[in-house]
Amino acid sequence: MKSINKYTFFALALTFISTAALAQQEESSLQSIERKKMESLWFSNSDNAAGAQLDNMSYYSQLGINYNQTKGDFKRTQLGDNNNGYGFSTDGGGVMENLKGMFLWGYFDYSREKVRDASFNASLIDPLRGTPFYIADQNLSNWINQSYKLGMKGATPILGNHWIVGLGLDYENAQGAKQMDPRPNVLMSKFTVTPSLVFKANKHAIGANFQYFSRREDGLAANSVSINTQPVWEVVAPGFYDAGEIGGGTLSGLRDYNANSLGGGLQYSFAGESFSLLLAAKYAFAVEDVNNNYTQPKKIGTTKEDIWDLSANLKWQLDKNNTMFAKAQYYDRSIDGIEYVQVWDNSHEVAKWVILSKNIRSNFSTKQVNFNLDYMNLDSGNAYRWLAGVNINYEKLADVYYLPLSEQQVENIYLGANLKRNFTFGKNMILAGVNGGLKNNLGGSRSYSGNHAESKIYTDMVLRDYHFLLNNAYSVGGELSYTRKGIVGNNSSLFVSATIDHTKATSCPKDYNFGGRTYLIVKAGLTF
Amino acid sequence: MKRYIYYIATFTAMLFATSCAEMMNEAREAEVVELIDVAYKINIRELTTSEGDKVAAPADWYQNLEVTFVNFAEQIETKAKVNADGIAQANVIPGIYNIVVRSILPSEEGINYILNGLAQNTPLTKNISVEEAAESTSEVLITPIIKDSPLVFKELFYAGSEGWYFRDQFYEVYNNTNKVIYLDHLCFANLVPEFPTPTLPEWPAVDGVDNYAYAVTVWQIKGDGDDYPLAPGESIVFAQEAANHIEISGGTSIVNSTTSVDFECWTGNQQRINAEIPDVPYVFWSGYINKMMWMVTVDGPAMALYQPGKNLEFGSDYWQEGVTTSAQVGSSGQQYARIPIEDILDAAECIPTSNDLNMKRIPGVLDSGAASVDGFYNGKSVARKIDSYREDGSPIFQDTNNSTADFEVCSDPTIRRYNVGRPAWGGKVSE
Repeated sequence: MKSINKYTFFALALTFISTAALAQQEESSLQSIERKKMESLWFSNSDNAAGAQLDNMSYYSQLGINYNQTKGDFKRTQLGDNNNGYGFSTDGGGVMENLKGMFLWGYFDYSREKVRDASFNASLIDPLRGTPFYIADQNLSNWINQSYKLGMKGATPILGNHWIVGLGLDYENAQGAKQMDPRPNVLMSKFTVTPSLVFKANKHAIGANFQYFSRREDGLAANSVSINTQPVWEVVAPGFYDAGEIGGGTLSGLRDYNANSLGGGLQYSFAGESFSLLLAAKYAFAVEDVNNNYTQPKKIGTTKEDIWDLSANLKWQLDKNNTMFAKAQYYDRSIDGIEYVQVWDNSHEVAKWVILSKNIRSNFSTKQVNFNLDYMNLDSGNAYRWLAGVNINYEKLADVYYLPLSEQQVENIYLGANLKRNFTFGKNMILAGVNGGLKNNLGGSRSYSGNHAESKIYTDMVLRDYHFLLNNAYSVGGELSYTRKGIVGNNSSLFVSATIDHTKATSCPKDYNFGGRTYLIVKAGLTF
Repeated sequence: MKRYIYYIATFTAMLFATSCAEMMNEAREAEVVELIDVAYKINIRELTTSEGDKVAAPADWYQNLEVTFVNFAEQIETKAKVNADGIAQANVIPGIYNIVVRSILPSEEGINYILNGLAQNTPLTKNISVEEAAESTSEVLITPIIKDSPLVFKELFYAGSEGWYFRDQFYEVYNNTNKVIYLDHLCFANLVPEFPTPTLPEWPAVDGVDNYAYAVTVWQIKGDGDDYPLAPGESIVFAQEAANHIEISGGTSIVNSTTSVDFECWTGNQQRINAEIPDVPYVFWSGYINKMMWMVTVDGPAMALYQPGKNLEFGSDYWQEGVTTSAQVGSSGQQYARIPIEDILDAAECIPTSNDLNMKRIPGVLDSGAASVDGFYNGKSVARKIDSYREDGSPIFQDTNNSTADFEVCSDPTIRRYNVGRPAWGGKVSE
């Protein structure tokens, strides 16, 4: 934790100094920054840093602190019941006129969260990130998670009237400490590099980017109170596991994850007088090996992940003060779970596990179709006056364990609407927003041929999560913020905001009586 | 200097890129799992008739064998069909299997034989035809054993009690027959590996497969042949230390006292001697001798009973490499007691958890399963299940040479559970 704090302050200072020093003065507020990001199609909808140059996004910067709280049982089982945390965030950048028109943007986020009464996880900081290979224990436990992320996007000015070269760099470091035996201290680091290129010809532009990331995550689930063993499940898929004891037998509590991802994107944009379009296609192929020992590794499994992300993004400026935004997106993620047949070979000087065969034993598929439509009405300043939107999201989840054959499918549709009104009174602004949504289940099925239908992890996690996904629900929320302009300088502002959302289950089965879940975020900070 | 930095950076990047590409290519090679058709040879050794002649096993035995392919990691059991040539066939998921044979079949002479066998930790990853299996050297070798072992392990308390307390370990042996058995020369052996592990040792090829069990420690009841009669329905108990454990443990021992045992496995610690309980001497001890105590692993030992027919002495000429001892292949030469399986009266395999069947140490012919208290220092024992009762009401315990089925887990380790009898000489120091 100490090292994280050290890096935190270092990165914070670097980000703030690098952006603020190059600032171009323009009146800034939370609302104006939100507007800028919505208007910057390349910046917000692609990984192509070079393309951000075409957005011509003027400079902004913001920094703030936040407190968040999440409470309620309408959630996936592995998440905590009652969590709270705080954090610090800063980001800023834009086209830097005094750097010959280079685009430069950076961010830094720090968060610390206490997760309470999480269950069935003794391996992962984020148990829902997609790997089926982890150790699950029987104890409700708190976790203390801490992370920082920092990164940048940079792009040259347009070279030779056509070319832009860009680069994105991201780094994330996180630590998760489980507070109840078996307790791992999980460390995670991820580094992403995204070089990019854009060719511009009049109103048309095409872009391409490459993306590589490396992620390591490891933690050893061990007992502090060594007098008791802890029964655990070595999970390879929901409902499929090998039971064992931490502190007894030869089960290793270590899970060492090593992931590499290669991918890229292609983009096309058209920028007319009042009409801008960005078509973006993105593909990523990631492989993650999971071992249980550093020196004599036995492969617990491997995930092979394919992600397709296609989107069409539209900005249509109706007149000087009114703009429509539309986004249609197709997202397809498929994760294969590979398991190994291995034997211990001690016939050599260095004994080791030898892989005899490997097979894809499971697959986890997520398909989404999303459509968002937003309307923005500007006032005389940089901030918007009205912001209204509707969104429709269709999601199909399909999991399969091939042998013994077990399947789960869930289809849901989400309908949502939001409305924000920004009131300006001289140097003061008050933003009020409301949102609401409905989640409607379109169908679901589940079959299980494994041997653990009576086990606690199956009934209390696998089946519970299935019913959670099936559940119909509604959500309501609101946002209120106050902004005072001209606190530090003429173009800066101070803000305080609070956002609250509540989701409530409406179709609970008898054995899984979900309630609701409330999310509260309070922020305060400065914008420049 | 800059050039070297450039070279190092380039080399590192290439190494990294190669490693990353290799990892991704390996993942791409994996195909969706499918069931495989496998065949495996079962071989029953010749029987010895009452005249001492060797005869082949009855032809119909093969087809009546109960063969199961056990994928212990995934807890999937697949029953196999066996043809007249002794080839078992099954349709299984690729994995590591214990191929288990458990049958009790009558011979033409009307004698019931236990036909247990085990091919342990057998990788099955692709189709194996009947012809391939027939030609293969891999097989489950079965030594027919006449049912009804005279002496059986009745209860094993090895796991210890809360508070890391292990001095209350005890082991009970029962006369499961209808005749008096003399315990003179009875050896009580703790088998190798001493600590359960999936990395089983390799023994000399000359020992063959499943012909011997190997012990790290052997204790013996010495006598003249008729000193220690054990009547039907009676048991004797060996303790690590015959003492009042409630006092010693500060109240954490699940066993109040082991002062009602018949023998102490005493190694020489004067502070742990109970003068009222006879000491049973160790006659073999491989490696370092712990003079403080004799403790078996709380993770689950493997134990065997046998009677070599004479009193043995520690360090005597009786123990000879290749005859009564063996060393593991690739070891420094450390000797372990080598016990022919046909001499073993009973054996019991205990493992850390029920899923650790890949750690089995005892040949399947002696014990095709394993018992477990699923943990350690949890105050639990494994006790043999009752099969039936004699006319006098004393129990006859189940003995199918399969500890998975024969034992149950008890949360109240009890010496002479079910009020079984104690020999008249029991627990008294011989004059």
